[in-house]
Amino acid sequence: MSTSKTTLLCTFALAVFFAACTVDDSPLDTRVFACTNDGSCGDGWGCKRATPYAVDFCAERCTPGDVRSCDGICTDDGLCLRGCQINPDGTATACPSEDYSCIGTSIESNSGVCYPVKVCAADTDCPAGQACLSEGFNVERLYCVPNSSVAECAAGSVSASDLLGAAFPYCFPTCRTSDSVCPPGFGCLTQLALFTEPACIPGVPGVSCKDDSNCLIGGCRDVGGVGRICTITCNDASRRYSADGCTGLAEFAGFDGLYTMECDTAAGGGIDGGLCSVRYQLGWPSCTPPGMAYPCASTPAGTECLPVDVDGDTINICSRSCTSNLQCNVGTSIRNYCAGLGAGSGICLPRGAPDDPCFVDDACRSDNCVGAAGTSAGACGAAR
Amino acid sequence: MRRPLVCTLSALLALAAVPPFASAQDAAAAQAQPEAAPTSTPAAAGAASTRIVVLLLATGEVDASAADDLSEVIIGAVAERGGVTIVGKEEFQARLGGGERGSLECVSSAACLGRIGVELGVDQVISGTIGRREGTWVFNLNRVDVRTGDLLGRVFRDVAGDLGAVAGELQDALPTLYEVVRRPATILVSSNVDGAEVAIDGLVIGAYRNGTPVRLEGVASGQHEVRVRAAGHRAYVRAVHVASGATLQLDAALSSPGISPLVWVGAGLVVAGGGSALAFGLLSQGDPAQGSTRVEAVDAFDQRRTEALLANIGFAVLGAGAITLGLGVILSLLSGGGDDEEEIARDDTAALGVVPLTGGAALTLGGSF
Repeated sequence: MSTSKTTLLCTFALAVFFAACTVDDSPLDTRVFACTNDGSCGDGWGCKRATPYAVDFCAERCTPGDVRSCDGICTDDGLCLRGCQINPDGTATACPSEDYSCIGTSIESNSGVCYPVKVCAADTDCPAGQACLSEGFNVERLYCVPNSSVAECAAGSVSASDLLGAAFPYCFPTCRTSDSVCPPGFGCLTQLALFTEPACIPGVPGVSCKDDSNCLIGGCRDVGGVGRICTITCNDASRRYSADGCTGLAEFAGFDGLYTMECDTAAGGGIDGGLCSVRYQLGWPSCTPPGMAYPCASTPAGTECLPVDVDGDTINICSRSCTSNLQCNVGTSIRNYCAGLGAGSGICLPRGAPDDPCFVDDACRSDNCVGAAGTSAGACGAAR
Repeated sequence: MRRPLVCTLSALLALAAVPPFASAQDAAAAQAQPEAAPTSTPAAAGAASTRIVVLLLATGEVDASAADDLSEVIIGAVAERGGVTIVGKEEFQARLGGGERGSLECVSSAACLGRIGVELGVDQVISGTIGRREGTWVFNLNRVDVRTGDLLGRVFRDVAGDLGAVAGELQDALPTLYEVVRRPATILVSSNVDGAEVAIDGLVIGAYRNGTPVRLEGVASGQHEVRVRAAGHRAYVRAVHVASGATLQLDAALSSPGISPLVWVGAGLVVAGGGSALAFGLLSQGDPAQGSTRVEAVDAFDQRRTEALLANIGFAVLGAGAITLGLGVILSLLSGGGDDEEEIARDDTAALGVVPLTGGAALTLGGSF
């Protein structure tokens, strides 16, 4: 037998002998597996809620607070959202598979998490009927959500334009105060619970959160009676955002009249000056004493949670007693007015928007209360 | 050591009915012509006594009494070799009748010698004549095997001098008379494969074609190697012993190359291993069904791992089968084409003898098979 034949035979035999069949089970780690409960995900994994923007999917379990247990963000429910980095040019490091996209979770850093959605830079990147969050919030690598200006938001979501204005034509998922599960970058605006169903909104300071993935600014910190909110330390607020410190953060919220931020020097152990915490502005209708869920802001001076009799019901309102409108405002603001209670006393209340009930012109931002007569309330009209 | 089985067939056959050759058990057929008995030395005669008639007849002007005296010299010399019983001329002629001339005629006739052999129980006849030619003694002696009629030895001498010189020459000639007469043998080789190449003692002598045996004449008696080979067949190799003057006919049956059992075992393993490896290998590479839950996917991958393990076992079997198959093929190729692996067959010795008998002959076939 020739040498070449022998070599060929030996090579073939060796190739066959050493050929090995292996199973690539990496899809278990990289593929998005939809789930309805933890039991459908297997040992060491749990079902991460992601509706309505994505399907609920299986995520590996981790220990909240233990950074070694997760290479991204370990959410409050003990499930790991794998981390990724967003490059200056908008690209991002790879996620486990193409089923995931790296979405931004902070406007302060380039960190993000891998999530089973499609990222976008503009509305044109999204399928018909959807709009790009990145465009409205000017944050890179957010994703496509249903466009509330095209179709009515589905059950379980509300139109952001009702909360934030027409510039935000998005359907935001609703959330619950007790279980504020929101997508990454979104916190739960639990304050809405007094008026309507709470909704997930971008994680600006003051919104309720479960973990850092909810916060576009700062982190998810426990500030005492208010609970866990997206916030930063007081000193950091002064350094980075405004000379007014925490008060300056309110502008990020954009919810005029809903709440403001003040420094709680005791919160967070007082480290770095304490934490910026939520305080409710004058006129907030369901306030609580300090250290509880709805503490009143400290301005105007003397503001406190006052019980007020309204049509026979007693409600607690952030206010102060007053004798003049001047006592109800800070600086040159004319946001509030002093509502007379008779006998020369009164309490500060915010001036109403058009169509809000009124008895006097001062009660309206337009200084025009139409139709009020005696004990019959009128309605704020247009400015004269 | 193999103990040869010696078969001797004897049958009374009419001489005309003796076939030209007889076949041996292993297809080697031998046809032998009468040969000289291997009695080259006194010791070779064995323990049994050989009865010999010694006849030296006078011719021409030589006196019969001188021939008788010289016969005594021959008898004495033969007796010295031992193991013989001498039958005298008188007894021979008494049984035969016919005197000197009748004796001369008888020793030249195979039929007469056969009869003498039976009647006198004689094995050999040493006969000859002595005469004078131009003042020189001339004698010849022939030693004949009565049973076969073979001429076992022969001398012819011219002697100058007196009778004493003749007597001395007779004594000197006796060893020559007992020398084995070696005659060239012939080997005929045929085969079942047309074109088969025939070599004897490594020398190619021709190819078997159209049913005509390859013939080599003038072969010295003794051991020879006959090798016959043809493409695609196992070589046929035999060590044969050819008797002096015999014709040995071999029928070389060439077989197709044997396929090693390893080939079949290996092929079976390759098929079984390869089939299972392929089947389980393909199964193991499937992805879990779309829409399956992760738990279902985990279970599916567990099953894939089991299938992969089975596939790997199949691959191992396939590899072992491939190696076995390769070895089997190599062994088959070597056994089919390589002469070095060829087993040298046992000696095939065959001898066909014709023993003259009264009214016919006995055919003997002896050999080791």
